[in-house]
Amino acid sequence: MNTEKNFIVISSLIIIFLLTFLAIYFRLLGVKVGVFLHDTVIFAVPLLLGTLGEIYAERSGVLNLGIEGMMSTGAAVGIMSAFITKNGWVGVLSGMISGMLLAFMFAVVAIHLQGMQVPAGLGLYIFGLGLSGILGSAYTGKKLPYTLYEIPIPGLKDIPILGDFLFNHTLLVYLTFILTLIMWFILFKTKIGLEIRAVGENPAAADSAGVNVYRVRYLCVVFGGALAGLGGAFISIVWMHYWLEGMTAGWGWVCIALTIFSLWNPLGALLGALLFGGVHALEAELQYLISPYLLASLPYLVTLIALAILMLFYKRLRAPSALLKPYTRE
Amino acid sequence: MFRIKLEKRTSVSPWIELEVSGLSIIIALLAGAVLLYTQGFDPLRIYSTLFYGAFGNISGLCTTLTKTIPLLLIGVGLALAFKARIWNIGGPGQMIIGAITCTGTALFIPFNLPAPMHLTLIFIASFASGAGLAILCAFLNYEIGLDIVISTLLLNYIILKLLWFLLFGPWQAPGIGFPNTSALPSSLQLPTIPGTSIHYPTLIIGIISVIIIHIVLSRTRLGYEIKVFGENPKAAEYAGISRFKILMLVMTISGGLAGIAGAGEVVGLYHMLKLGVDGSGMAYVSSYGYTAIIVAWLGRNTALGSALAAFFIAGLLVGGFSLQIIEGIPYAVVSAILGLMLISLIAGAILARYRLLFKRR
Repeated sequence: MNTEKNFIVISSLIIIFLLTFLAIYFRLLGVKVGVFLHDTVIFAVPLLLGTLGEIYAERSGVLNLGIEGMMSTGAAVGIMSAFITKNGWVGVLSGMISGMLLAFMFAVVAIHLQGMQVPAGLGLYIFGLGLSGILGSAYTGKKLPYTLYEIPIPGLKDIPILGDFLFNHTLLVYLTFILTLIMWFILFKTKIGLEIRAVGENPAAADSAGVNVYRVRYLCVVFGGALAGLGGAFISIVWMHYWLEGMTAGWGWVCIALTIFSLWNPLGALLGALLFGGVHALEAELQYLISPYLLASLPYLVTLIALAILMLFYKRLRAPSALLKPYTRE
Repeated sequence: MFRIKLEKRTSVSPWIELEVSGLSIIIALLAGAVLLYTQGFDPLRIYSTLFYGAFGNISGLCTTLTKTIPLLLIGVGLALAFKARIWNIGGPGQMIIGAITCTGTALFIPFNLPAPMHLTLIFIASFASGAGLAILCAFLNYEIGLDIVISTLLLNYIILKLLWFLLFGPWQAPGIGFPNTSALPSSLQLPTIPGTSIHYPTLIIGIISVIIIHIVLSRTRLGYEIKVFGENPKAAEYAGISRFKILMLVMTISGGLAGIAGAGEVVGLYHMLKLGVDGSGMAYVSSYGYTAIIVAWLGRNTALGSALAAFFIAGLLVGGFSLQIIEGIPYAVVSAILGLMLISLIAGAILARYRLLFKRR
């Protein structure tokens, strides 16, 4: 626990330092800092949602590699229902439900049928991308007029830079940040969180203490699916306003990496998502300087390097003990 | 009321493996049919078009065989990796880096070589580059514990962007600006079976790899070690099986074969480097590197099984392509069916360990 606290303090300092540095640098380059920070938050939200969901699933002992699949299906279902009902919120909700359904399918295979989680997750990834291609094909590239609108917070939004950064977003963005705090609180400060962590560390002991291991795992995985689907719908409805096949572009896989990077802690996920959202926003700003194709590999490269550095320095880093192990009562 | 009860099997018959594979194909096709039906298509007609397009006529069969080549090469390598429970899912990246190295070796080496030697060099270099990418991930895993799934997967995206960079930048053929290199000299194009696009030298490499991997897995001590390592890494450690050796070996072979698959597409089929060289022309996820995961599982992670599965799944790809042209059905249907197939293969594994009993309550 102490390591985790240290890690979070250190990485917040690094991020604050980086952002300040970038702010000065951008001023010199003539980039609008407010826009950059605003984009950072927009890009961070889908990453954050996917990572938060995966944190709960992995804390309960189930690795769901299918986030990318649930996200892309969420994006397609979201934009489809937004077009049909002419309402962005309905789209967001249906994206979320589609993610839950896919996650439930995975949960049955991984939990009750004791299937191997890695290949089952890969299957979910391929299935989800295929499904999104079928559902979304009729809407390819069409501009969605029914998005969510930004609700600037009166007073706070006029603070220079910080106002654009934090207080000029859609309701969904605010809710995501509040959700992060709630999820951190539940995971570490309540009995429910204790049960989730117990199931992920030692399911047999949790079971004999009266925790329903299966129920906890199902709930966590399906909840993770809901957030991944929501993240996907956010990408298509709030961020892009259109749908393209494969538009989630590996975001779901970055979430898997971020889950480790966050040390399975929602607050760590917040930091990680902002950092990688920032890298992506940077990409948009630097396009004129470097080849855009090379630049496009930056988020993945940074993820890989950051993870490698983290693992190099935190030897004690370890996943929940029961991760990948199906539980049977025998 | 009936209650479903699981009973542990005392002995596992070899047929159960075949049953699971067959069953999951059926489940995936049925679920695919439901999916098609909800989209307003007639599943029966769609499937007959699909299988006719792939297996029902000579030209379809030839295309199927052509697409079998990369699937076979990558799939058999992955079967070896998955047998050891090492999750190399970097197929797309390793294939593309193989294709890039192949093109680089073909177009840009500064000295002249006789064609057969040059081709040999191309294949060796492609194998080395694919293997190198995989070994990098194996090394990161061994030294600092970085998960192989994550490193191989992120590298897929990075290498894909590298391909884009090369094809829209320094390697682009002069002229109208299509994203491809200029064509290879005809001396460096592999021969094909006349009248078809089956580049048989690559196919032969594939078949030889299948035979070698089959022999290694079934007849040698090494194959036994790989199996033990996959089933129970702790027991393997006590038995003195080196984790380093298995990890490196398995990643070298699976990555290297993916590199060869990439080279085969360049020198055998397209005769140039272009976008979608890894089979992802229709959709990113339809890359041979991902499809080969299903090939390996459908073949129960055995060499011979994967060879059969590669042919069958190549047929699905070809059929899916003709569906898109004839019926206007999104190619993504094939990805959805393949994904479902993998999920039901994993779900069906329980049948190999347990017997389902229906008991009256």
